[in-house]
Order: sequence, then C-alpha cells, then structure tokens
Amino acid sequence: MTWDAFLKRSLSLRRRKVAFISAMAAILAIMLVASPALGAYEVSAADVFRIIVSHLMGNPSGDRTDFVVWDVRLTSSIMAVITGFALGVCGSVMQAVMRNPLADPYTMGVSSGASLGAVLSLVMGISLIPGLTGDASVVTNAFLLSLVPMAVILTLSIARRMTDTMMILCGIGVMYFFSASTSLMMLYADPTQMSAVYSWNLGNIGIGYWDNLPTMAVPTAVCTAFLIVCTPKIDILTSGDDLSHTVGVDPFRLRVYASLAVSVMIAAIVSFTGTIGFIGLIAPHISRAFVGSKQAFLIPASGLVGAAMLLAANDAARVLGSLPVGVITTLVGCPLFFALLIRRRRSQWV
Amino acid sequence: MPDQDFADGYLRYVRHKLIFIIAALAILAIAAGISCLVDGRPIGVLDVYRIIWEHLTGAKYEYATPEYWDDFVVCQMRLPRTVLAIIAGSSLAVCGAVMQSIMSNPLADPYTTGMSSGACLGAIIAIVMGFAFTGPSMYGIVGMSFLVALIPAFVVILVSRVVSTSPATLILMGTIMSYMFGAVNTLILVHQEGETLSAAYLWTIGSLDNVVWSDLLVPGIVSVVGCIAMLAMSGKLNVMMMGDDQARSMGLDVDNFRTVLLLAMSVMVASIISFTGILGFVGLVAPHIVRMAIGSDNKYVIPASMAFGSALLLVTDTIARLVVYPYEIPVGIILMFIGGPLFLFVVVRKRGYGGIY
Repeated sequence: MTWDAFLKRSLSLRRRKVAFISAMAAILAIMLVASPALGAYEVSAADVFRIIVSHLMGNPSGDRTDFVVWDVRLTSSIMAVITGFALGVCGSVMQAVMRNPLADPYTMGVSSGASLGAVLSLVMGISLIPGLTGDASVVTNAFLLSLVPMAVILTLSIARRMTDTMMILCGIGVMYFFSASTSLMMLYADPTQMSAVYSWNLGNIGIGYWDNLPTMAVPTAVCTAFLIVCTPKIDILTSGDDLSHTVGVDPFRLRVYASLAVSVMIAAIVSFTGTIGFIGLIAPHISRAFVGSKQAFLIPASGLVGAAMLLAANDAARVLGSLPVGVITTLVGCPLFFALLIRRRRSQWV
Repeated sequence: MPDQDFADGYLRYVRHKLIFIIAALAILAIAAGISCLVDGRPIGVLDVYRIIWEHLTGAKYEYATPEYWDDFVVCQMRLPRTVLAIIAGSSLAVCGAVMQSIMSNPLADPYTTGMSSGACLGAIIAIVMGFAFTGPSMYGIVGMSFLVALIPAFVVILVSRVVSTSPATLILMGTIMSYMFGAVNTLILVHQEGETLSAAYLWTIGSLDNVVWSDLLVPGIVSVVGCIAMLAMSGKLNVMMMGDDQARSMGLDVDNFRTVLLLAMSVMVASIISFTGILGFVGLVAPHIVRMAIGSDNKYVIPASMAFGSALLLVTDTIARLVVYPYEIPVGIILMFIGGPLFLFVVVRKRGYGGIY
C-alpha cells in the first residue's frame, strides 16, 4: 500500500468512526425528545416538543401535562442518559485497563460498593468523612466504598496473576458481601421496607429530580474528559503490561488513576439510581464493532451507546408499568454476557 | 510397615474425622435447643430438651395448663423451624459437597451454579399460577420448582460434555443465570400488590419464617432419601474427584453418573428451596470448612458436611432472629456475609484442586 492510499484509508476509517459517533448523538437527541411521550399518561410527541420549547423560551404553562413531561419523565430520561453514558464510559475504560472483556462497574463490584456507601449515608446517616451532610456525604461515602473492590482486585493482581474470569469472580465475591450489607442496613432501618430495598438493589430511575442532575452530570463530564485525555496511554496499556513498561507508561499507576476516575463517576450516579447492571458491559462491545478499539473513539461511542440503551430500557420499564429499569437491563444483558463467556477470544477486543 | 502400625495409623486417621463429626453433631444439638428459646414465652434452656423429650415419649397435658402451653409453643411453633433448618442445612451442604466433587470445581454449590435461583423462580411461577402450599397442590410447587431448576443443571451437563471450559467460567455462567432468573422473578411479581413483592424479595434472599409441621413432609422425605443415596455414592465420588479420564479408566460411566447426580440434586434443591427461598452458600461454606478440618475423603466429607451444614444454618438462623429482635432479618443475608468472603478466598487461593481457571 502506498503512503497516499494508506492515508486515504486511514482518513476514511476515521470519518466513519466520527460519523458513527455523530449519528449516535443524533439518535440519542431524538430519543430524548420522544421518550417523555411514552407511558400510561398519554402525551403526544408534538406536545412534548412544544413543552420543552416553551420551557426553554422561559414561559412554561405549568399545567398537569407540563408537570408530567418536564418534571417527571424528562428528568427521568435525562438521568437515564447521564447514567447510561457514565456506565458506558466506565465499562469501556475498565475493559481496556484491566484487559478484560468481562469487566464493567457492575461485574467488578464497584457499583455495589458505591451503593453500600450511599445507603450508609441515606439510611443510617453515617458519613465516612466527618462533617459532611446531605448529597455531599452520600456521594463521598459512595466514592470511598466503591474504591474497595478495585483496590482488592488490584492488590490481588500484584500478588498473583489474575485471569479475567478470576477478576470477575473476585468482584462477585465482594458484591455478595456489599449487597448483603446494603440489604441489612435497609432492613435494620425499617424491616417493612422490603420493596424499597429490592428496587434499590436492582437499580431504579423511576423519578428524577432536577436538583440531582448537576451532581450526576458534573463528575461524569469531568471524569470523561480526564479519561479522554488519558486515552493514548490507555491504548498502550491494552497491548500489555510489558510493552507499556518499555514505552514509559506505568501500568499500575494508570490502572489506579483510571479506577479513581471510574469510582468518582459511579459514586455520582449510583447514589441516585442504585446498582444498574450490564450496560457498562454491553455498550463497549457493541461500540467496538463499529469504531474499533481505539479509546479516543471508543470512550465517547460507548458512552453514547450506553446512554441510548439505558434510555430505551428506562422507557420500556415505564411502558411495562413502573418496573425497576435494572430488570430490563439484566434480562437483555445476561444472555449477551453468557454469549461473551462462551465465545471469548482475546483477538475480538484487544 | 508392620500391620499393627498400619492399623494404628488408620485408626488415628478415622478417629480425627469421627471427632470432628461428633463435635459438629454436638454443636447441632446445642444450637437446636437454643433456637427453640427465641420468641415470646420464656422457657429455660434445659426445659426445652425436657419438653421435646416428653412430647416424643407421648406425654399429654390438660388443655390450657402452663405445661400444655410450654409443649404447644416449643413443639408446634418453634420446633418445625428448627427441624427445617436441620433438613435444609444438611441437604444443601451435601449437594454442595457432591457438586464440588463431580464437577471438580471448588466453587460449585446449588447457589453459585444457579440451581437455587431456578428452583425459586419455579416455585414463584407455580404460586402465581395458583398452586398453594397446602394439600396436593404443594407437589405442584415442588414439581415446577424442580423443572426450572433443571435448566441450570442441564447447562452444567451440556457445558461439561460439549464445550470445554474452566470451572471459573462455569460458575460465572451460573451467576449469570441467577441474575436472569431473579429478573424474571421481578417481572412476574412486580404487578402483584406491594406485600407480595416484599414476600417475594424475602424469598429471593431466603428465610425460614412461618413453618408448620405439614410443610416438612416433602423436604423431609426427599432430603433423607437424597442424603442416604449420596452417602452410598461417596466411594464413586472419590473416584470422580480424580478427574474424568482416571474415573473412566476405573470403570465409572462418568457422564451418566454426573447426569443422574445432578438430577437427584435438582430434586433435593427444589424441595428445599420451594419452602425456604434461596439459602445461598450453605453448600459452599460447609464442605469447605469440613475439608479444611478433615481432608477430602468423601466418605467422611459427606456426613460431616451434613452435620456441619445443619449446625451452620441453625446458628445463622438464630442470629438472624436476634439481630433486630423482635423483628427478624432474612437468614440469607447472614449467609451471604459468611459466604462472600469465603467465596473470595476460594477464588484467590493458590492451592487446592489445582487451577480452576
């Protein structure tokens, strides 16, 4: 291949990737406007659009339909988008830095740690950092405890070589412990509140509040930006620890940084949604089929795919009658995880 | 080696194991007495044993005398739960020990392979279809529970015959199936009223609440038959532990043996789980602790697991009833606290059955 042909091909590939990402963003925007139209209380898509425009222009009507669309469904959808985006980004980064096609915040136990931290503050009123209250204490607790599973896995991986299934099993072991603690605390607080515990453990975005959105969106945006800055190093790490040593990237340090960023994002979202599984696992695998493994493209692509998936799942959950959205993601995600387990070949993802 | 030394050595080998089994049985007996003390009416520790003994020897009391109420409270209200804990603990522990042997997989147990969740889903489907826990329709619940528990059992059989995969992958598949069954469960139950949902949640984490004597018939018979059958198989299980090829060369029909045992275990698990809900990790924790203490000869591991498993479930159940007294928390949560760390330990330890990855 001549240099010109190579350059041409490379540019066309690049264009295709950018086109995929832009197309996903466009689809997501359309879905976001369309999704408040779905649900038991009937609203037409045109009305949704009208209401959103009226709010943006600053003259909301304030009637019942307006309330349902703007304050209930749209917030829930935006929450789903932020959550899905964060999960997709985290999944993509974790799969790359751990070199493990089965990794995601849920399977590695990060989400369950964050969930335990959040419950510690929400239910028991305990803040791990003294003096914090309210959302600040919820999120910092979630952050601190979400570090535990990754710390366990990283520490163990120094002591002995970890295979990819072994990492996930460690994550699952930690998750059993954490989710038992979460359930215990919630039942201790009120033994009759079983269904609340249940829906928290499954992940639920039934109702969103505008006030919560900045707390979720800002850490997600900051950490995604940080991770995108790190992408050249993450790309090097995916080709192996030895190789990254030779080009001056410290694998362990990069893993720690990436884990910290992932934990911040997960803490910020899990505090409001509970643990939602499998989005972070599947979104990167789907995106990889379109944009390849280069993290600079994969991170935004899998964020957008994750957001679209969770938004769709959230709509489906609402249409089917206020299900916890985690049920839908699990039903869709489990068979895909199963298929991944059976047909696991490294060449597919590295 | 002179015969005498050999005989002495063997006796020592056996004595050590027998002492462990007897100690586990002693713990079981004490725990059984203590578990009959919890709730309401104060009755002394030793009185419990006396009351049970007198009940068994056929003492009759006049209605509404204090003796009558003591007898009623202990034998009708508290003892069924204790007996269920013993039955469930021993069956699940035996199933765990057997699964670990036939799959050469230290992480296998009815919970981690997804069998328990399948049984639970089956029971819930049956209840939604209108079967009840009384009379003959009880068999409908157990039957449906068995049918769904067969799904993970067949996946295990298929995976071990067709796809070659590591034990860790198999356990991951089991975990995934559990998630899946759990999600279907929620899907079925979410439109039931709130109380049913809480009951269902309670069920998915396992609890020995609200047991009466008539509930114990099916699990009792199945467990006794199952445990005796497994005890009789312990020699073959030892052969299986050497690996499929060696076992074949010793004349064991490995594939069929595994299939038959998995079917038998599905029945045992279904008959327990459809009454108690998912009691995770008994089958993982009990055999592992037993093996740490007495080695892995199945002739001793199986009876010791039975004794230790039932003691474990009784003790954890009693703890679960006392933590937030007068409420109780589901015993499944306490089991997870013990099971999670042990699971982690088994995953990362270097020695054992060889590499499981």
